Amino acid sequence: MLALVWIALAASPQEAEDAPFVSRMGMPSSTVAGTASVSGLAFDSQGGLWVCDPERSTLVLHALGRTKVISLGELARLTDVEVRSERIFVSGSDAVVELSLNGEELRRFGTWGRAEGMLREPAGIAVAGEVLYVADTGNDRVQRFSLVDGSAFASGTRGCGAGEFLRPNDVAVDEAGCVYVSDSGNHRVVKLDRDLKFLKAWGDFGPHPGFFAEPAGLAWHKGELYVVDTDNHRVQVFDSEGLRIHEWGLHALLPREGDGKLHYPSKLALHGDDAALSEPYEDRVQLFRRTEPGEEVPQPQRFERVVSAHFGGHVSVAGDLAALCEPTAPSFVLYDVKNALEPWEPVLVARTSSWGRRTGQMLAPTDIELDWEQRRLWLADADAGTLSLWSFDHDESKPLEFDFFKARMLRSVDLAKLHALGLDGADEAIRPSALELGPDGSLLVLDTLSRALFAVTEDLSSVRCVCTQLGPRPVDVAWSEQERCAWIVDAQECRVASIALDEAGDELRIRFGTRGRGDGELLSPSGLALASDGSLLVVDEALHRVSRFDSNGTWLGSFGARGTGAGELHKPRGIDVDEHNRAWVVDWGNHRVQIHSLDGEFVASFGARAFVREALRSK
Amino acid sequence: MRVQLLSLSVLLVTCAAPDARDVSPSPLEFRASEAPRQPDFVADAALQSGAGTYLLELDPPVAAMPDNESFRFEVRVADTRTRQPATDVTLAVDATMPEHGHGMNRVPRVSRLADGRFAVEGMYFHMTGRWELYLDVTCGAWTERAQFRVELSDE
Repeated sequence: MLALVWIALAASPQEAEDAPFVSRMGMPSSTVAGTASVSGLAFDSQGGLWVCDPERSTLVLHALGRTKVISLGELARLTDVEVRSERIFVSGSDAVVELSLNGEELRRFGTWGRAEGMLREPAGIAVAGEVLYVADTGNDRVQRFSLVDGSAFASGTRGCGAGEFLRPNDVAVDEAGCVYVSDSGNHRVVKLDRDLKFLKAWGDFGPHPGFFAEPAGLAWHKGELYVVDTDNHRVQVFDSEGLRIHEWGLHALLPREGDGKLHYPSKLALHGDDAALSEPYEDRVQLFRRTEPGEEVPQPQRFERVVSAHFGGHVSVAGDLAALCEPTAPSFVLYDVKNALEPWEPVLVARTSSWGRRTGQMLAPTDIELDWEQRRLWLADADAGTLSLWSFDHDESKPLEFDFFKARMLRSVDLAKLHALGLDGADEAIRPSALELGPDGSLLVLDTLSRALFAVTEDLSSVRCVCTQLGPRPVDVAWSEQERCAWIVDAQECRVASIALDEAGDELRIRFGTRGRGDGELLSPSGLALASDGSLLVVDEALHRVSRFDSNGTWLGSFGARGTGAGELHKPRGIDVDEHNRAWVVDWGNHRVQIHSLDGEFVASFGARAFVREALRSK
Repeated sequence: MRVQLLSLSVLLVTCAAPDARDVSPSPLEFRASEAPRQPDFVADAALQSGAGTYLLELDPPVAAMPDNESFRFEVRVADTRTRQPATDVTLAVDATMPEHGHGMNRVPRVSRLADGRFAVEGMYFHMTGRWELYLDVTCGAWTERAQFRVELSDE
């Protein structure tokens, strides 16, 4: 009886009211006006907010209701910024640049490469004292540069163990000099000592408290570590030992929701009692503040925390099926496209999903390629470092139905082991970013990071490098059987190149493309496909459109504009053309695929329900 | 309880060593009923790969695997052409229920025996329904899968 009374007293509201008020970060405050594309951000000592605009290669200072713009010139794809002692540090394409507050370049750290002191796609930086820390994302390591003499020290290799990283995205430093790393591909936070030696790691893949899905931005502020948990659409806050303190972030379920709701947040910065959070997906920066007495940070319902499954960057259409991969699930899906539904729409008939490192499982599938005639498909997983071959059944005479057992893995090749055996002809293990059925039944495999193209036999038994002279960021490949050439689009140069592949080697045939926003220009091309008439369709993620060119590079027209309606696109990524010359565009930002005629006439849309509904309503 | 083997398909291709580029492009998969039976293997458990390189023999066969109890089985992996044990491979075993989105609640232990045989212990099909049993044979950088479909019912 006494125990019951004690329990009742312990749980009484009176005691809860008497508990000391603890102010928490996470109350929605406002949205920064006038942002275009956004990535990293930082506060200066006066509270001015510096925001990277990767599409324009500019830094924008928002302060006292005014903006100031600094052009970064040739530094492309800006990822992060830090402001310390009247100096600005900006990371971008394979370098970190130190600037004065007026934008004058003072120093540059790193060039593209794998040696110590070189960088590949650095995504996050931190400055502490006279040391610059860099998340050297493409090299799966952390680097430390001395601001005194520029010397460099690298720590980490590719992997998931202690001292290993998989696409580290950001770094933060505490008062004791310990370095925290958001190890994105391993969905964890790693703590290092000041000498970059491994101390501990916490987190794993998942939606639950303390778990992560692609953690990105980090900030150490007033004794707390803030971790942007991108694919869980939230920020989690920890102490220095990984003890979770609280979280904030409501998942924006509908297109363009704001007012504190988050959609793939990326980087954050803190100043006093304010936090700024960038959302590249929405081209938006939102501000948050600490709670005051009587306020509580809005908490999501648990169902909102389920890691979303959305289409990735590529689509493959062949015969009766369309195939897409969903990196965030991770999974791949097959849609029946030959059904007789009225109105016609592709119907989901298979999903294969299993996260893990065992055979047949996936970490983050990057591309999928269908071979309808042979009833098989290939799947690329850059994080796992695998290519796999799957078979599938499809009997069009049977009723349309979902089949869990439709696809079966036949064979896979571990590309790291292949490299260790010296059998890939490459300087490093291949990380497959795009696939295309190529010459003589082979599979073309593009490795964006190493800027190389490989030909793999259809049974995955042998690999050979066919081209290494690619541009700085090749992102997609298409094969022209008629011209016996591979078309490759480069996101950084904004160019498309045709490379003839034959026994004698590779030869550049034609290259075209101009950076810009005008007709026929490209700003951030992300995918390409060939139509049966030989014309090329190039998807532009930044311009939210598809541009069509003939094989000489002459612009034929464009379709698409930013929006959620029918025929409108939001950050489209991949494209394929079916046998009816219809363009299937992965409308990534709208979580759907849109189908158009080559002239741009909207045909159909499928994918996440809310986004498809939006398209249909607009139609 | 009755264990019914609905279909039994095996996919095994040659260990794709660097000198194995002459792998036959023949279909990589076929159903058990179409597979040529090997007289020196148990009739319903020995299967030839589509490329004709490996044979897998399970003892006890899939049809005798129980549900709701721990069990052990052995796998013999042989090279079809030579009929000799495949000694340069490793084996991993897993099972899932794709309709339910989960696998076994135990991790089986695989240990190598003599003559291309492997012992698999700690198998446990903890519920009735349709299971997929995976036997992954790894040689060098390549892993090839033999996939067995097993249906466990209360009947």
